[in-house]
Amino acid sequence: MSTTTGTTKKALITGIAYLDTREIEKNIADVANEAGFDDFAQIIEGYRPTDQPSYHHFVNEDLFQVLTFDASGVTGSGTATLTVTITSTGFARTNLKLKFANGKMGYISSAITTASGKDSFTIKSVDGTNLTAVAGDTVAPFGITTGEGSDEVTALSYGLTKYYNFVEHMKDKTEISDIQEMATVEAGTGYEAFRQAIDQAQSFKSQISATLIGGVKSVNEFGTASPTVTDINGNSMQFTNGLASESGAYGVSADVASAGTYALTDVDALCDALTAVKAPSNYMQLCPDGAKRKASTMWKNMGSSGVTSSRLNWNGKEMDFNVDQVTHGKYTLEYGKLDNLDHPQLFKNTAISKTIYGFPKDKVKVQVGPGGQGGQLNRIGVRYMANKYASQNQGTAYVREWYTGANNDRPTSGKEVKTIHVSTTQGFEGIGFRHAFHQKVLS
Amino acid sequence: MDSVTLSTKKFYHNSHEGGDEPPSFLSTKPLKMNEYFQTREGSDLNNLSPKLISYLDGRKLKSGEVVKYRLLNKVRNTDPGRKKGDDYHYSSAIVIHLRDRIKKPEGGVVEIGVIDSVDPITKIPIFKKPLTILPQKGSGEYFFLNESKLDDVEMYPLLELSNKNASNPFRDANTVAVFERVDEVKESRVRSKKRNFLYDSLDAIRNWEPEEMRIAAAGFNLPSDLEPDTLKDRLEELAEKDPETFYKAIDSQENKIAAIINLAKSKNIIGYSAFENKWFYVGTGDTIILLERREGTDEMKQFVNFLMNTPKGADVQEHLKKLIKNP
Repeated sequence: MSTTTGTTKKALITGIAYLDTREIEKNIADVANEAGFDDFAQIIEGYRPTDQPSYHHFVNEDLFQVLTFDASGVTGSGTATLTVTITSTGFARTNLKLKFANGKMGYISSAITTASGKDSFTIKSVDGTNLTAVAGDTVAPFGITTGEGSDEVTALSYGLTKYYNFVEHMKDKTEISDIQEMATVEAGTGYEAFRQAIDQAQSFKSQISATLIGGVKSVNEFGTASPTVTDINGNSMQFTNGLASESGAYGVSADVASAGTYALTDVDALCDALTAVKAPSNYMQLCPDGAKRKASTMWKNMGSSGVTSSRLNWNGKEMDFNVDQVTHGKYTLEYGKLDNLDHPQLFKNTAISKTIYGFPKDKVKVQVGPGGQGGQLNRIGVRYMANKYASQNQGTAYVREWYTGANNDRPTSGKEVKTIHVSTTQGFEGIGFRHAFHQKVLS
Repeated sequence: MDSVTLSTKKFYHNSHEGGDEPPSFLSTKPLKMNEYFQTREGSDLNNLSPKLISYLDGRKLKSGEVVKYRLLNKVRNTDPGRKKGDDYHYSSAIVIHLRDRIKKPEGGVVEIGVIDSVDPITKIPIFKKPLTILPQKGSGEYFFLNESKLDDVEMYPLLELSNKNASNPFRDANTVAVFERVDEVKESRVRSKKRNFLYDSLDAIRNWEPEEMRIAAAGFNLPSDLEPDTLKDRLEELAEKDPETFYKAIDSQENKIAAIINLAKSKNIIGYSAFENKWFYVGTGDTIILLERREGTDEMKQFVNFLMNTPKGADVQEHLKKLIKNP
């Protein structure tokens, strides 16, 4: 309340509440505190335009496949000749050398017969000693060896696997009436319309981030003839597969042994699994805060003696209990923090808020093409259909923003409101995601 | 700045190599084997309840037995251009830990794990390295355990009791199942039964007269005016999709009556007025039945019920049959 000398004068004024001014902080505190995965994608220069609403990429398949003996698929174990059935077809070839787990070497000495997707053949020991094997055993293919003046060997075709994802068309809108727009408010910019627009923009940004992280790919796309997932008008919809789903579907699954406990054995298990899929060694991990704390605690809580020792440097005034990067074996694991994973409304009680998502920091190399061109591609990123109206002052290349209603520069109706529309068409992209991983840490 | 080194000396802690069993301080009690796992005397680790022991007793590995497990954490490949056999995508590697915390059927929980050794300093049991499954193209969805292998024998009870095993009746339903045990005999029986239903259905279709085919088609809401060969093809297609349902529908009274209704409707003998909620004779406009307005029931079901289960229904049925033959 403003002050005046004495109280008698003030008592003579009617409508005192309209006379006094109020002390209101002009800035509106932003406690919604939204963060953006899209920002992260921008920082790593992961945004790429796409001309089509679905985008595809091919990866080469493993060049070698171990052969697994099927149930009831081994006869003659303990002799120099085995007759076996394996669980797959297409990779066994006559004269293929096979390395057994116990060091023995055999070779496929018969033609291959195939039934119900399983190959059967005979294996002979190369040194005449006995071969032993049981169902479930695996042998490694070492290549084909032939005799003098040999015939051609069976050709093997190397496959490609196609992965694809969709952009998702996301929309939102907010509306403000004529009176509300004209009236000033005492906080923020002075106009309610701007405040609304800022909140809407932040909300939309978080919706995009949540989708890029937690989205699940739909069964149909825009061009599907008889779609099962449709909007209220019967039009086909498509949804993008987010980081979590892409990692879950194609990456390494290495949850900790005991949810809520992050142990060195869990890190070892992860490293072993990464090695098994021939992963690169330098990883960025996006962590929920709880998981990062678990990891930091584990790394800093090691015994001070023995091979798993670590030391904590302390200047006596402040302590940093965070471990941001660890090198363990050949792997360098960076523990990054992604606030979106901790979002209390969008990811609460989902596995996403309990899981560390990791992906190689390097780019994935591409095969040398016909022109001798090699190169590399981003491991993760966002594909977007560029907003064609960005140059007409309708948002950015990524998000379109436009206005309708009478209270617009160019009125579109007689209704005296300003309606703010936003839309975007974008989707997550993960390339070579067999090297990505997800590790559920928290319970 | 002065730097002080803070010792984090500890003899044991949760995150140390191995497990999180809070040990009795520097326990020297040796490991011993209980019914299925190694454990330490007096420890709750691997202390199975009688019902869990009885469950494992019923599944003891026989000499030379091979146990087959199927991976479940796969996603359907919805790519319309996918190659044959590429129906699913699998994680590139799946880590299955050889330890778990499971519910006891009698109540309470128990920590289980395949113990490899004991840490010489902390005395904490160290669990065996986890199983890392690398799904491969073609045979990607299976992995095996073999009774003739020591490692497999050790991990078998753990996998059978694991919460990640969808075949485990005692599993925690809130845990995402990662694999299931394949019962070859049971699955063969199911496949064989399905095949038999299909053969019997196709046999029935092959022996039907065009008129019988038309009635059956009407029962499945197929247009009754299709050419017999087309009709046969459409019926066979339906049988292939769900042999058991098709086979059972052949003799279903309900289906036969639905066929009469559909035929009568397609010949414009009867009609249904959604506005008045009634079935009526088109020629005279006479009402056959005024339906109840009840949530969740449709006009077809109510009419079938009327024709099947009311005294008047039988007469109407006969009348409709006559009208279908001689409209």
